[in-house]
Amino acid sequence: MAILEAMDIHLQIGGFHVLNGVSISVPHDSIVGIVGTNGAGKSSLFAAISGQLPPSRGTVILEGREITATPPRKRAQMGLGRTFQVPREFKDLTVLENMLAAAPRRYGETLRSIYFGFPNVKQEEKVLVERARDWLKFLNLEQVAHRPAGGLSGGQKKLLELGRVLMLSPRCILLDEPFAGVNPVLIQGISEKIQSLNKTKGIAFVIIEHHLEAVTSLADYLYAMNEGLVIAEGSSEVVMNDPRVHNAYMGGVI
Amino acid sequence: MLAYLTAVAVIALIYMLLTVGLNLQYGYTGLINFGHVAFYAVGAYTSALLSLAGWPLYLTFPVAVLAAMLVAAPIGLLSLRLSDDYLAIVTLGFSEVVRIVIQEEDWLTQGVNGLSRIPRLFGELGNSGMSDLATMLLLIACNVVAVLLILHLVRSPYGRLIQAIRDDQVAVEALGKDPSRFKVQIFLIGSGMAGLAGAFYAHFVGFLSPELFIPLVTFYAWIAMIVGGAGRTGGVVLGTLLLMALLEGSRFLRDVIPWVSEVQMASLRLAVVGLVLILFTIYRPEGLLGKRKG
Repeated sequence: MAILEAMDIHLQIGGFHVLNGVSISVPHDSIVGIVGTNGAGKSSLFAAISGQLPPSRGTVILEGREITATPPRKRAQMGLGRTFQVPREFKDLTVLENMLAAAPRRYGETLRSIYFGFPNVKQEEKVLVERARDWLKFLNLEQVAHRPAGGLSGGQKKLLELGRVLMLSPRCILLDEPFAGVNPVLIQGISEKIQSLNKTKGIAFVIIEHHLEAVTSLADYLYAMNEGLVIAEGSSEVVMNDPRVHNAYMGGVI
Repeated sequence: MLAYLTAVAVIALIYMLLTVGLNLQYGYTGLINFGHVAFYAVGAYTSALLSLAGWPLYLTFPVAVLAAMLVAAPIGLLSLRLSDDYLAIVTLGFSEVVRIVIQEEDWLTQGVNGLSRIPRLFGELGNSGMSDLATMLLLIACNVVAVLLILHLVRSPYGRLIQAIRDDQVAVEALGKDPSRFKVQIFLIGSGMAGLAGAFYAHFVGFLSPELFIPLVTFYAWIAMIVGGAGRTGGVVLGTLLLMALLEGSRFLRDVIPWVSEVQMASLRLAVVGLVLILFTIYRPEGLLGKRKG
């Protein structure tokens, strides 16, 4: 049984067919990788799955419920988190504040509660601060908790984005190039975090990545995309040895 | 001299209400409102017309606030779905529409002739020195309350989220939250404050006409906010005082340079304000009390 399924997704942007019937399936507790060259349609697929760009045809199903037309914020509330290719940290807020801004809360974000129910707000805040600190510790970001997020390194921003998503207690996370612009040492670190979250919390991941080595070692199942289509799928080994993938990547050489 | 100082203080405090509200919208939430004067005008005319119809001022003031918010609601709901630049264009256009409607609908507003004999706030105190002083004290109280309420707001989780919206609205949405609810609420609060400022203005000056509500009023508030430090409530309070000192202080400049005519002086005053703004954007873009970036 899959936690997330995208079936026969078609997407047009300005008359261009960027997705031509892509289907992927993400089993519970799994890590699924999507590889492909620039322009293959990987990020567009994420946009369709997360709701930023509604597909012109096809179906998206999250835990058995169809969400094809559900707005992005509802999908997030339903447990589908995502990060962005270019980090979208709240640059003027501190790292801790970024985490707290992401937390779903009952109090504190309505005018009524902040002016007429502040004890509740404070109590909830205390619990959330603790949770945020735990995640920051897990992500090795606790030393920078009180720094403005805009000043973090590229890799730290990627980790912070992951941390913000974790505040939503998601069931499935879409990671858009988590290793892009990250130094090699931190790549290993981020990989380990993803693996640990997957193993201990049972969070499913879908990872778009150019860094083939990192993604092939992480993913249980791999899709290769080219020109808006899935051209190969299977275990990392199978996909990386598929001649069509070589063709797409290297233009036929090798 | 005391009467003059009181009058200057009252005008400064009215601008402070405008600027503090604008800062909530732009400084904290990132809403580019280039039509702040529209809600100021609606508040001023609403309170003036109702009081001329015999309503007591303690009723016309709250109604002026509500009227400004009511007028802001459709603009907010329609345009806050658009990106920031569009909000800027829509609000600027809207403020001119409001001014022209006031100018043309003379059956209600007396058009270009203006509304006169508007009852003065605390007029029952008799001599105008006392009523001005009372108006000033009430304005100080209103500003203090507004600043305290806003500081509480921006330090709460709600305030954190509006600042997150300012930084990256797409990310807020991806985290499962609805930016437009917050933006509409903040837009209404700021507009209500402008309406209150307008009511104070109407009952202090006692005369209203459409040409008092040109976009320059909006931009004075913007200048005060930028100079003081957008996103810093204490900063914009200071910025307003500095702007008023510049605008009023330049009157005394005529005693020093008497060969400049009154008309020339008016232009010179704007030039000085412009120069200060330019110097600030070059040498201290974060404003007087703003946090240094980097």
